Amino acid sequence: MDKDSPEERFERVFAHYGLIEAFARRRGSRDSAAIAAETLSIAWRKLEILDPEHCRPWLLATARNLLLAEYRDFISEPVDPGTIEIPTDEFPDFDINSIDPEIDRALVALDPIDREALLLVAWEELTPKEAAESLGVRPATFRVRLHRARRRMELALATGEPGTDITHRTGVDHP
Amino acid sequence: MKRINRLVDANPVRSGAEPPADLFQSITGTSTPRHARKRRKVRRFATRGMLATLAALVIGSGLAWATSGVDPIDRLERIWGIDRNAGVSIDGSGYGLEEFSILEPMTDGTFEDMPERLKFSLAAIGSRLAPPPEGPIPDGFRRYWIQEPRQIAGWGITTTGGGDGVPSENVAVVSMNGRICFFMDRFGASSCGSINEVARKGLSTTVSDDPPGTRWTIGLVTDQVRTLSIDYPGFGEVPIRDNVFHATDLPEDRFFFLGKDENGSVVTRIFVSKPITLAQRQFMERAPHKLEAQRERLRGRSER
Repeated sequence: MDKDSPEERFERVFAHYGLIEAFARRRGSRDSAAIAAETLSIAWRKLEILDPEHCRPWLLATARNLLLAEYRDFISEPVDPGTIEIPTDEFPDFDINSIDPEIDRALVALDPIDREALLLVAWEELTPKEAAESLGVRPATFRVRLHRARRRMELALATGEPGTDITHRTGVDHP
Repeated sequence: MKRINRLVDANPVRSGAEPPADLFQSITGTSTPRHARKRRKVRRFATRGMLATLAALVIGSGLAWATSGVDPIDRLERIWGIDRNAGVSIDGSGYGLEEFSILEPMTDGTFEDMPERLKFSLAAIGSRLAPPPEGPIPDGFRRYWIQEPRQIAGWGITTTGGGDGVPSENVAVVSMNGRICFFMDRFGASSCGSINEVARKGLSTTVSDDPPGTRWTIGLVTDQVRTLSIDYPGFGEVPIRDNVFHATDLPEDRFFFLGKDENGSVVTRIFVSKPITLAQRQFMERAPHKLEAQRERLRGRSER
């Protein structure tokens, strides 16, 4: 195998299989292995635009899109034709289940996109710059979002009243 | 900070699983990296979601028709505020006609021949939800659909063979707005993709428990695919008719359909995931509540 052959470059991308599989499992995927396999399959086809040394944000963004498709397959089954609205521009509200029930309840109190910001750093161990790239936002925007998410998370844990709207109770506004 | 550490400690998955032994070879062995293309994934997924919803609408309306005598298509048009006959024109580019022998060129006359339900499905695909108004949403506001023009290059209809207790299905293939769309008549709609996307990984839908105890895949491939087989021990070739296949005996595992050209080279790989488990079905049952929670958040955000 040549030093810079596609296969060798892809090997370095492929090494992140575990990262993607765990990411999908943490977000309630029904088939995390399939999400990881499909993500890497797409990565192989798009290898020319990928930097194997800096592909984690791209891989997780791709996996998130696949999870979104999986999630929409779920929610699209039983609908009332009279009331249907499709939240196509909403950030996906994945099913997060940690091993700490209080953390779970505090996470539920967050906006899905704030929650994702927090989890990318806390669980996926991405740097803020990588997490920003994965979410498609500027690093400065991400830092604000992360700060806000941490603050709300701490408030939710401190008050012991998870599930309530922390924003309203504390006077913190959405930007 | 301690509380954030507590979040870190609450991580439900400490490390990812190891990849299957043959995955690397499977990915790199049968396809080649391609040049970067504009990403259309999110838009396609949104379309898929809409189409799946449309399927539920058609089924729901079909039941309503049986009891009320109201034509389901007319009812759907009223609900959605769209007209299945409006905005249609002929695309003379011939997009897809060379690659899919099922497609017949579109003419004024052939549009008249098109089943009404298919016309409605095409109109629904060519529609998008209007954005909500600026500021607070007024009482009684309902989202509505904006109908986009539809340029049709060709279309065709076929019936699958079924088998193994699975009935045959009527399916339609349409070349519209530079995409190839594949419809299952009974479920209202399926999905769309470019010629290249269909050539590379087909268009397919896998259905479980309909009829109960069955699991089957229906899909579309290009003329280039001469033989199609299930790449799993003990499973073999799947017949193709008019570019469409209907596989009614599937492995209880994730697998690929492999489409080979006349030289025996694999040109199409169609991935099918594992059957869903009981726990996953329970998740599905909870999903409508998540949709409602999402609506609540949307309302709350609009009111702030």
